Amino acid sequence: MVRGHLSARTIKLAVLAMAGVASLVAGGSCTPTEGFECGRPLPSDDSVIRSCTRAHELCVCATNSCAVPATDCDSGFRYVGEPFANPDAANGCVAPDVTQWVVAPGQTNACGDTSDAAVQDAAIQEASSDACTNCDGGGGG
Amino acid sequence: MMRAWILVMALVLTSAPALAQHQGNQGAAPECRLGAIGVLVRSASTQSIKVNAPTSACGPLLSKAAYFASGTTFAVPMTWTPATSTITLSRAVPKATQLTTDSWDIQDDAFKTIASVRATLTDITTDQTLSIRYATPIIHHSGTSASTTDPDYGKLGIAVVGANVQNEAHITLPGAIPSASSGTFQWSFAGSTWGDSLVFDIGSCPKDTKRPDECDLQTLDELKFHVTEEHDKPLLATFVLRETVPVGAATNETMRQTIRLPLAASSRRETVPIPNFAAGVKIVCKNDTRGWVSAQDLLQDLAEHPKSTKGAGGHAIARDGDTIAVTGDQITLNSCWVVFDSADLAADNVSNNVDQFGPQAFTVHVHKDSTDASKDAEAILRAEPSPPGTTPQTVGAIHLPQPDVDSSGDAYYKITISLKNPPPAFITFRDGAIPDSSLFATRNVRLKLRGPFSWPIDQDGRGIRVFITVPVNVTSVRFPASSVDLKNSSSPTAFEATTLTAGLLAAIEPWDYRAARNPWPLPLRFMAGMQLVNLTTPQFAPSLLLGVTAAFPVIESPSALGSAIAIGLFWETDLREPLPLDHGGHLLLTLGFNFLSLLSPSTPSSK
Repeated sequence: MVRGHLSARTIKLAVLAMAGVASLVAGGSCTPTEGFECGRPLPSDDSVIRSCTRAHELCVCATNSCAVPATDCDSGFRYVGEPFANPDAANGCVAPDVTQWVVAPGQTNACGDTSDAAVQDAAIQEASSDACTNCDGGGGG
Repeated sequence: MMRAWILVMALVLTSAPALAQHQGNQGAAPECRLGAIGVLVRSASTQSIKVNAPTSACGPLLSKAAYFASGTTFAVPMTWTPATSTITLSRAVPKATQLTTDSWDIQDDAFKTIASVRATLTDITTDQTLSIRYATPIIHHSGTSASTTDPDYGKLGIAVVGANVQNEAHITLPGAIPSASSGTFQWSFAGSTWGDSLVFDIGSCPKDTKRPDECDLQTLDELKFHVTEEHDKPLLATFVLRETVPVGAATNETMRQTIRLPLAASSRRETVPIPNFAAGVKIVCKNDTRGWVSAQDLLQDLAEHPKSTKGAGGHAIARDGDTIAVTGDQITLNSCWVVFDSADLAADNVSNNVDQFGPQAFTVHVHKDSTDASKDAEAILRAEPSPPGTTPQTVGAIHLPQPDVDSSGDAYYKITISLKNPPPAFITFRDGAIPDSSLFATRNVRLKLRGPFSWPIDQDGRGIRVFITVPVNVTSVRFPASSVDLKNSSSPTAFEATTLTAGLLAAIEPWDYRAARNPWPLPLRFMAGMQLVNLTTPQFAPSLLLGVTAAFPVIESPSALGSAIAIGLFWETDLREPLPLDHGGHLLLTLGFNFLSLLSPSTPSSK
């Protein structure tokens, strides 16, 4: 029946500690998604395929990013900016070897299961280096 | 049923020769005792008559006269209905004659004797008249004007006020009597406990008497009533005396002309109205439970902080009608006291009153509302020695009694302080007299338990509280939109609306522990935690939240059910975003509810 101040304070501290730990655990255990990924279902609704719907945009399935025609890129396409392109690929040129796996403008179908992780990583890396070249004044728009 | 019988038994000592004759008869017929003789005659104002016929051989004396020898004792068996009748004793005897002992047979409605009255006349030297009559009791008279010449002046209300103690009767005239009255005056008495063979000396107090020793017990000292309780039950009777001597009136402005007649020398101190010291009661709780281990410590502290209203020196004070916030520890560790402090009692010097009238006893009733548990204790106001170097104080202090239940939880302790023996409920006041409500006054104080997770508070009972709540946002607007939720590249990126999200938040807010509410005009609470799920999909959608909410209670509950409508503004880190620390930051405006208030005292169960 008798409870001293120390025990009450201990309980209070314990509650706060538990709340903090819970927050950290929850945050740490959460695996972030990739943000907007065209050609893939909306996380909150599998029936909705995220798509690139602005004029002349297509979805590059290798990076699940939107791209627009660009004459200064070898592939003829350049990724758009965030959030509709992968952060590492945004504003970079689309690699020529991934332009065959795209969702054409005006279509809202999924990219399917043909994606190759190696191809995707290479495409993103190439686009990223291109974007960095552009950042350094190398053009690329 | 109220019946107004006025019966007069007239026992007239008509003449000296008759007395001589009677004395002669007494010698010839010693069995001729007048103990059963009585002529009960109705008064002119009533229609009924009851004659208690004599049973002795003293026939000629039946009608209106009886002869009494010195030392004769008579007894009058009579039916007595306390609720409807009043015994009236009228007499006109010179001072040479003494009615030394009166005792009355008084019966209740069931004809059960509850008291007896017997009278003995001695030293009779002249013709005398002694009459006894019934009258309607004063407690049933209303709307009757009183005057000094009215034979029924006895209807003037006189009743018992105050606490009867063993062998003492406290009698109060709740209205002023003219200071030079030569008419009839009347009083009644009642008590829960009477001593055996209690003798009351009848006296009076001068007008505006302030001190008991100013009362003259000799004025009517020739009349003495010997009242014996024969049964263990309350005694209620009303007598009317016809007396020719002046009767003083004891008035007291404070008591609104409440008048008391001294009945006995032993109760002289009770003849002057005294304040109900419950007016000065307060509850004092030491925030530091290590303090005030004795009343002397408490006295010292109060002396160092006189006139403190909010509580200086690390303690909280609650007077009548106040509520203070306490912890269970403060109650269980005897940190709370019931204090009668002279600093709170106006005008009359408490020390003098205590000296004059002695300690005053109070009942302290403590009730914990959430458990129905309660406990009573007795507090006594008496003069305490003053600590060296301090102003003399008069303090009655006891530890607050605590019901034998768990002192934790979120509850109120309701404390009521009242006179230990309050005035009887049947007290009747003279028409026009204003009963002093302080005689019946009780004082009420509440202690609000702060709960096991309370945080330190200031002397006003204000502080902060920390609790856990479940936010359910009916709608939210996120600035900018989360990329995870974008359906296509044409979606707006500047903002995003979401519906029905829920999470878990820790909240901290300013808190008045006495009223159990946020004291700010705009009840803001600061919150941090997580938004966890989107209830419309449903989908796990974690994000970290840090912000402020204006919360307006919609459910005030004594438990953790307290809930509120909440409008919030948060900084959100959306953990679904890629690189949430770099790209997951949003401003989030929410409208919804804060359900529950876990781990914290919430709101009162009653006011």
